[in-house]
Amino acid sequence: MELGGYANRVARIDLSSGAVSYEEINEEDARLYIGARGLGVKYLFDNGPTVEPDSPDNMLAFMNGPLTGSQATMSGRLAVVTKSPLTQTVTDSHMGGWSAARLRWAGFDALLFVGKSDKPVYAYVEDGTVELRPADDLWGQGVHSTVEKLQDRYGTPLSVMTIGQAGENGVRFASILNEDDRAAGRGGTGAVAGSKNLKAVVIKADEAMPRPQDREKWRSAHQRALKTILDSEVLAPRTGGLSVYGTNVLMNPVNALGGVGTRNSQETQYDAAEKISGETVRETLLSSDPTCHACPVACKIEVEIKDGPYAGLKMESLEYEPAWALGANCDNDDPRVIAKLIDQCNDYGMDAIELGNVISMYMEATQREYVTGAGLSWGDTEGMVETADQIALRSGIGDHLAEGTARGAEKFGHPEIAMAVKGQAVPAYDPRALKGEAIGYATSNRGACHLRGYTPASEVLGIPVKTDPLAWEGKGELLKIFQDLHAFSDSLDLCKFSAFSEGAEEYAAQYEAIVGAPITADEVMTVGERVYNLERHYNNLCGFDGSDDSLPERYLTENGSGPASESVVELDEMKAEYYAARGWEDGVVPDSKLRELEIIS
Amino acid sequence: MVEVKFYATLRELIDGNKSLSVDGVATVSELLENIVQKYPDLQEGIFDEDRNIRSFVAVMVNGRDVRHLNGIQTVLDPNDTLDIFPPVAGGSYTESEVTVSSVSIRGLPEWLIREYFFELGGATCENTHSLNHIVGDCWLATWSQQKVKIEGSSGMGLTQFDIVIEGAAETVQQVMELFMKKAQRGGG
Repeated sequence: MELGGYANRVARIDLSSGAVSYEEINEEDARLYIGARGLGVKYLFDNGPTVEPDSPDNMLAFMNGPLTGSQATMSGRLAVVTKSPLTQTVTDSHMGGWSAARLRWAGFDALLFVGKSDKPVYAYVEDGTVELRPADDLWGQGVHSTVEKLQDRYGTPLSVMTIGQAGENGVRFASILNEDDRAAGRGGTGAVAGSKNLKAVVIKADEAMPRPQDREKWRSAHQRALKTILDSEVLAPRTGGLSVYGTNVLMNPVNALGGVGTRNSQETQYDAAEKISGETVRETLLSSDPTCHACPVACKIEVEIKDGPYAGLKMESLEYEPAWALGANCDNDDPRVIAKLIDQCNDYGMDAIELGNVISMYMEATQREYVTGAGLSWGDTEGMVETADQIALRSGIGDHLAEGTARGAEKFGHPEIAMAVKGQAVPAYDPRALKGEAIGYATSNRGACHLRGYTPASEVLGIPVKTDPLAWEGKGELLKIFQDLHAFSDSLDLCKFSAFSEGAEEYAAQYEAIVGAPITADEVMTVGERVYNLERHYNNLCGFDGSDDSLPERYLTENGSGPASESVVELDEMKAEYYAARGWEDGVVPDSKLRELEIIS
Repeated sequence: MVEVKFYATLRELIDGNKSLSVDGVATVSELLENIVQKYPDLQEGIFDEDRNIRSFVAVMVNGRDVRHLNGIQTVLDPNDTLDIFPPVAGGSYTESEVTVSSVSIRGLPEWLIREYFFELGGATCENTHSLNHIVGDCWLATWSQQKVKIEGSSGMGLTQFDIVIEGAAETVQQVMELFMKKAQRGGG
């Protein structure tokens, strides 16, 4: 294989037979789809789009990109790619920290799991080999205890990507976490692992950063990218907003814009937003701010609770999304409780965004008397903590709620109280106040998601320019640009926060230097477009079309609050603009577009 | 009494307070002058050397960025609430190798092309009031648009803008570089 950066080694593990085989990267696929997200979706596509997510036929892929574990700034990420049991679409969920780098240093670009083991196992990875080992003594344990046991057994440094009880119990939004509490959070990847009796992936490797193909090009590309980060007012270590406060620096500005969904999005401003904001957390709870491989920004927020019922708890990381989902969304204004709930998610292995929405849906169902039994009241923090336990263990009401926000609401007979798209719950930007996310949530290939096309960069932060968050015109075209650019960086795999200061040229320069193949900024966008269209094509083959690019009724018919108090979402107009920009026919990729992008021949 | 709330790193510049109440100011501009007099450290936090609001500072009146209202001339009601956010976001630009003076672009809406040229210091021409005619210091950008069909896709098309920048050679090169940077970045 001509391309640099890659380990050029992929392991295929058949959990049914226990067989492990090794192969090289297909160079043509690597040129077209790069790695991580893009290449992972290609493997999933070749595996067959119409498999059932919880069947042995589903593939669970742990995917590095050609830049993972290198000197490239913010390159410590991998993508877990699979067919989601929550949305029934293809999904990719990315994880930070150090496991991705360690997987690369152990000699791998990817681990592809199919089949189902008849007994719980974990995969042990070292020096270019993968071995399946019994996990009987780990099954039933939470993430923290599993990591501890394995680190005792094999010594540190050791990377462990593991499920907790939630994945084992098939909670549809179960996640996979690593040794630093970094999560592949969304889409239920943990449930897929659990359905295969795969408890964990363990990686032992010393630092061995791959050398760039072209050292001169690398030096200038790296300096350029790093300079943008150090100069950035968001990212600059120790002074930029993101570095100092973490992502929860967004709570106050998004609330001012009228974008903080409150009480299951019945309103869109929270009067206690300040209490759960990044500023307050920094003042009252912050204990340290760790980082990931090769990242100077160090945006993580580690906290220690000093008083109240959870005194003594230390956890990482108190971010904006869970602060919203488990805070304003549920009318909970106590950041210590938010910290406790995130920690439960980190240990049980569950998506904090989905958990928050399941709980807020349950609270609204209680408010409207759709539930038999006690239900859960707004702001009942003890009840929230108990409900999270029940969900992870599928006990009591937990069994119903473990199905996720959308199925959970249907089971109460009221699907309209689920704030979800394609079955995945909405993130922390109310679409009535931020129109970019309206079309963003509706058209995301993995269900409601803010990361597919992060338009708040423009509407809240002013990158590349400040657009009017209440205006819908132009947002469809803007979204396509963000979606394509992020699809490329997700395939390298670089942290998305790099997009606050880097752009297509910086990504192109780093790719060229590490991989040793020329690529222009234009081609970067084409690759991103190709990845996005392959995902859409996968979903089309599963029966998804424009009718699934929808939003909850609430966003279309009920006004928001504050500056959004006269705002609903003009979804049909936005979809028309977006599909025109994409060249799709009512949400379906036509064959001509597939050929143009070399997805089919 | 207009209430002004401050966030993140701006709070240290007003002695750790979270908000101030201000009387007797009719516009955003007057209000900013007022608070900068009381707290001179705010000057650097909010304004650039030309006394314009720094590009990544957000000044909001009742949740609306003044950029989308009447700028700093926005008139204030006594019960209005202002929120001022420091640059929690920002980008920096690096030099690129592009030297062409005309380019065709797809996938960008016209308002965004215009915004980019405004960001580069351009303004619409007073005489023509033409929206596809932006004038800067020693440069002029104009464009026309055409619908471009995608082969075999039964009529689906994209809007293509054919942009021409003309003016002093060095400036044109610089403006085109910066414009292309913005247009390619798309996301940051």
